[in-house]
Amino acid sequence: MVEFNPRNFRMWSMMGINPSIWSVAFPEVIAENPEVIALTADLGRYSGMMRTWSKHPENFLNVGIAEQNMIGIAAGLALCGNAVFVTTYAPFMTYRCADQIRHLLGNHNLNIKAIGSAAGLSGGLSGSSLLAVGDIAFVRSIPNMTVLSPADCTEAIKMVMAMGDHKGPVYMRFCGAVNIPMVYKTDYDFEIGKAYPLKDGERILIAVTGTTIVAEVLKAASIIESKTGISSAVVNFPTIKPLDETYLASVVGKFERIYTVEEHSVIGGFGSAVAEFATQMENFPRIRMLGIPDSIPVLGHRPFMLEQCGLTSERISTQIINDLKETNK
Amino acid sequence: MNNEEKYLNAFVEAFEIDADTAKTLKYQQIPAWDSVGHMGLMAKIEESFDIMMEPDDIIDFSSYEKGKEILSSKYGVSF
Repeated sequence: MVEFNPRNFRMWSMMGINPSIWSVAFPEVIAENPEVIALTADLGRYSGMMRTWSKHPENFLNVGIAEQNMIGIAAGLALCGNAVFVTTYAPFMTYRCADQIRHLLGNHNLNIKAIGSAAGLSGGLSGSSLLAVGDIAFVRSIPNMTVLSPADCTEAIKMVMAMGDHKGPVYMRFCGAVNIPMVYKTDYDFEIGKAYPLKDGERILIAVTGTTIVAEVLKAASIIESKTGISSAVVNFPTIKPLDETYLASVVGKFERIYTVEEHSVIGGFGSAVAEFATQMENFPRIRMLGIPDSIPVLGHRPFMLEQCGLTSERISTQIINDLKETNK
Repeated sequence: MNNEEKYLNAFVEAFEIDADTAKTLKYQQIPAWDSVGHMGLMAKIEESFDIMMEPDDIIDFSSYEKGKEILSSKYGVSF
């Protein structure tokens, strides 16, 4: 039984999301459903699976470097009644397996949970083919898919446990490797489909998703308040599809402006999902999306690329402060 | 509980081992001190001494004795 306490939150933060998923959350999924199977495309050790794999060899399978085949095998297992988790790097999970994801997870609505590691800018040091900055845009356009993006390791653990109980296809993406900043320092109830307000505020709302980025936004909110006196509200969206429309409908009339922040292209991602919802609403606050510009960034370590793409606390706060100045001219 | 006892207790609790085993322990010498167990030990030590360790120190923390050296030289924990 996983204990959700501050010491463990810190431990998981240091470990990073992959070991948190496979060493902490997945044993709970196995306990609930001994028939669950996790497939990897030759990333078992890199994904931090080996500790649990050695204890439960019947629940794991390495298909080799064959991502598309992995989805086909997962579909066969799912059709035989197994719950199936598959994992590889996010760009391979989505771009390389696009047709398999669309056809087998989406069209056939199979009970497969696809976990894409090293999403966003995480793989930048390895080359542009390892970037996954359009994965949300692709997957959320597929019917039946649920799309998830945890804020930190604690939320990733809760998310995987919730995925174990969820029937239907899911894509979970996460960015970063180890030393993921903590967002949650006390326990809370996680539910797929809900937004989680993290900080109260007025005038502006910052809606954000993703590992590291949520923590950066909380710091950015402090910077904005110290420089302008404006207290911004911050809300975490761990579920990108289905979007928490009840929460979004509740902000009408409360805020002048909404900023969306994500480690994803400004085209088609979380911000776009919020904007699509806004088109159905009267008097929805004006939206500005902060994310990765529609260009190939200079490649490098993730912190360098986050800075370059304006996704550090300093850069986020500067963009918001400048935008507010423009608005008030 | 003095610092020596707090430190020893962190190993005993984290790995469920006896005190004599803990005092000569090195990373990966027992199955429980693997990479995941290491992070559990680090979190326990941080909580016991109310500190937050730097990533480089977490990586360098390779034995019971090395850990004492890191805590005393960088985090003001006297043994």
